[in-house]
Amino acid sequence: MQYAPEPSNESLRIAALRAIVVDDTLPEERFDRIVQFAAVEFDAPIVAITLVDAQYREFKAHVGLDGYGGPRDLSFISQAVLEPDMLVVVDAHFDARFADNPLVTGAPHLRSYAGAPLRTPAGEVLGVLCLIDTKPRGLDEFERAILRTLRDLTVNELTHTPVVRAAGCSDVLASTAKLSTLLPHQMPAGQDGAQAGV
Amino acid sequence: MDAQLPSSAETATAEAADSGPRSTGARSKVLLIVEPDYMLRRTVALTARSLDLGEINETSTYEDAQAILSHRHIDGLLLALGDGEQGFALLERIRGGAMKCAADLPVAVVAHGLDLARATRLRDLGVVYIAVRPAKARALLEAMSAIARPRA
Repeated sequence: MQYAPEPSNESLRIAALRAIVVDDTLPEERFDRIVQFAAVEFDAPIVAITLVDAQYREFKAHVGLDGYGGPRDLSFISQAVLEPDMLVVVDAHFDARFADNPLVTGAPHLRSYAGAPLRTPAGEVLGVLCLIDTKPRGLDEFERAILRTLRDLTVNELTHTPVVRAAGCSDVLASTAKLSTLLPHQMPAGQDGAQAGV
Repeated sequence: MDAQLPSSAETATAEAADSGPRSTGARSKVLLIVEPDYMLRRTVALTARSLDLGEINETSTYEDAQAILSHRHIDGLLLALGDGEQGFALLERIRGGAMKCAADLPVAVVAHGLDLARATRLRDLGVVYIAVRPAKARALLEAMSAIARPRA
């Protein structure tokens, strides 16, 4: 399994994230609408808007996952934030970066992933909008274009209105990650997001 | 993600967006999207611009659509049909030559399940593409591609 390197502008990226995400994160309809739309549009069982802090990633909105987020280092997102456009993994079983990832070899048995970095106009990546499936799949040009549009709408929401945060939600995240403390979403039961490093 | 078109009393949120990217050379097609569902309309409009399908205008209401069609040259229309007659009435005004656009303007429609009578009316009104709700953005982009295509 390959560990992704840190982005070259990691300190600027974290500063940009902390400038946007103010204290007390709560689920917000404007982000929920985007992931729900994407789940229907792409027939994707799992969709997430994930914000990535120095050590942890945190779901700002999600469909098909439970939990708040989890460690960053094992996640697909660590690779996705390095991409200039998007990371598309058609079948993780045949991708050397992920084939032996425990999230692929064991539950939740992820097979495909498409993640579009949430890049500010200044160039800092705040997180990723991702689609995940337990079946192999790619994206054609129409689908890539739609994912880019949803990414842009997400960035627009993140950068034009401060993200709302809530206090004291996750002990793990609250104790270690400045970004943390999303309240749980009332989403369909699915894979454990804290384990699913997506 | 589908929704009914609002009545004329609910048109306050209508919007007509800026034009999209223009190609140099041949004039790009000017397309109009009439769709009340915000997420669907915005996703289709923004993606259509990114794919350079043409100069994209959008609105959520028939009233604004009529105003745009009365004052601007439009080369193609993607029209959401509600359960009522407003959508058909707009189409009939277009076909009757009452708008600034050509009477044979290429039109694609997105609608809830159509009965035979309504499907026949759409055929008679020369609709070139019908997408059935719940429609995905992808289907509407294919419709936009169809109406933006040069006519034989």
